[in-house]
Amino acid sequence: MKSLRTQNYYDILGVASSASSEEIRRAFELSKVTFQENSLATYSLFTDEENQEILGLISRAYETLFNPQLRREYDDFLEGLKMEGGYEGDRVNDFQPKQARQPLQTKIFQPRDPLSGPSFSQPPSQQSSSRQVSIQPARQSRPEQLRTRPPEAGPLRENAPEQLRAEAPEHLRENAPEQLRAEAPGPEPAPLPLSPDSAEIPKNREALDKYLESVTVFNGPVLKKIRELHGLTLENIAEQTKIRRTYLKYLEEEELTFLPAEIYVKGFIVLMARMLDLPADRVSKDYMDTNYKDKSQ
Amino acid sequence: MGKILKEKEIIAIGGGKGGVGKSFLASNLGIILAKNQIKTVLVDADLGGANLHTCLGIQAPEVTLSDFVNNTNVRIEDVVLRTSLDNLMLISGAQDFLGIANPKYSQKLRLVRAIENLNVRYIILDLGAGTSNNTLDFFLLADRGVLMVLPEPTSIENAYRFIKSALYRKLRMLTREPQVRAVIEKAMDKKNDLGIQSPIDLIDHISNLNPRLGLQLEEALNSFRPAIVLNQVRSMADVRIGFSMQSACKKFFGLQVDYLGYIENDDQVWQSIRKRQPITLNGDHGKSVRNLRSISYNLLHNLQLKME
Repeated sequence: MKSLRTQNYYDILGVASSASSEEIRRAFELSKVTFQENSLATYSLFTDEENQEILGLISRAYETLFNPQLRREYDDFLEGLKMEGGYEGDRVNDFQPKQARQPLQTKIFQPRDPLSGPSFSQPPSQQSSSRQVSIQPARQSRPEQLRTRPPEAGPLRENAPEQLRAEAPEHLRENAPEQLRAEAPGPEPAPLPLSPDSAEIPKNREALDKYLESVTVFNGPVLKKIRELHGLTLENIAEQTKIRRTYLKYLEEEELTFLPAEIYVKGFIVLMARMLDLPADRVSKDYMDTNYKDKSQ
Repeated sequence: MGKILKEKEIIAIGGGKGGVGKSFLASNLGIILAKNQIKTVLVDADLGGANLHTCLGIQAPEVTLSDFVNNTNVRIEDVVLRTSLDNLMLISGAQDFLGIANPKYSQKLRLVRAIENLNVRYIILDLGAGTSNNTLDFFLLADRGVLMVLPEPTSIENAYRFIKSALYRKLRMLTREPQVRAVIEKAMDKKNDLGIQSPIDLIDHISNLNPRLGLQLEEALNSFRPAIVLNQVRSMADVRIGFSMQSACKKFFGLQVDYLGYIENDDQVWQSIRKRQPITLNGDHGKSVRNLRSISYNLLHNLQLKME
């Protein structure tokens, strides 16, 4: 028996350490359904917020274990802990991949029990800042006019239509739960989860915030705009996420025919969202709804 | 090791919510085992609301469990009823209340020990609805506990409540220390001031008070392994709820739950219940019969469903 805080990535996904990548993918798919909002199996056990936190851990576990290189590194890391006798403890979550010296944006699981000690994975100084999310995830239903896709993705890129710009943030705020609102960005801008050498604070912080407020649906062009406002190139993203540059380009252009299967696209979008300091669940849902809904129904 | 070599196994079937199909599963499980030449006794442990005999198409019997519980001169053999199958016996539950609905723990233990002395391989306890101490005790006294669940919010909630109540009762019985018992009772209330939200928190908390007891509780948690069966599933998404519940229990309770299988929504089921003719008795080959067979197989062989 291990509490969530001390579970390693295999435990979190509920797979054996010998699991094949197919088993890992399946476990990830199941976990996403299990801990999604209003899930029958979890709504009475976990709050929406906890579900989000668990999902964050699950995505991190999946990203690590699904990538053979990272998985090898992680196995070595666990092996190392075992040798030191520190296997059973909070340290199983201290793993840092070699490629990204700082973790991609990940949510931190905050134990509700205040007695259970400090939470893991990041020194306290970073914790408060990385919890800040610059966009509040939309909870429950969005108003009808917002849910429908804007007629042209184009206008959003530069000027969001007037009524969208005025209403969207307000509705989003309304639906955001109390505690999230309390944690919303304070006076300090949230730092970006980038590796030290790729970029510092974006030059365009204000423009970015302003733009984010006007966004209603995260689609390809919107992601492109946000990336540009971060001052990041496709190469920067490709380097960090290990997604091929051409795929990134197609993702932004929503050229689905050139992209791999839906499930991979979803994974890509999650990684991109993390890089851009966006709420990954919201972004991937928007993107998948926009691009795949008709096909799958 | 002891468990594998054990000659008899008690299987308890509960589920928290009423009308989810507990008696349906119990009776058909008994029939499937008996038809496979395995001596089995069905025990209606729904004290105060017994109707397993109806599921089997048997008239309300004259001797019931209450005779055994209330009168120490009555032997268990005296209340065992024959059925149309050679290898299947029935102990009917009490029809009336007469104080039997709340036997003492010692009475329950006497009952279980007596049943264990019957010449059978499997003992199937059909539990009542709810999470009364009675029901929980029978569930905990059994070797295998199975929960019947419908893919519906109320049923799933009740199943979790049942698992939690049974687990906390099991932990509570491990100690007589008033301080620890008080902590466990407090923890049952979700809004407790100790910040204990889950069994994992509880064990952490108790380990701080008493490390040795903490280890014992952890062992108890690890040895508690309920199984679930999903009833009336209508889609693959419904089937998947079983896996999701498994995963949620692991994360929330720290518990390993076995997913034995599911029973598809099938008109034959309610028709058989109305006719008071168990669906597995007459050689029907509908989908629900197939489902019941694979559940029985998994139960007997310690297997469970795998994701495909």
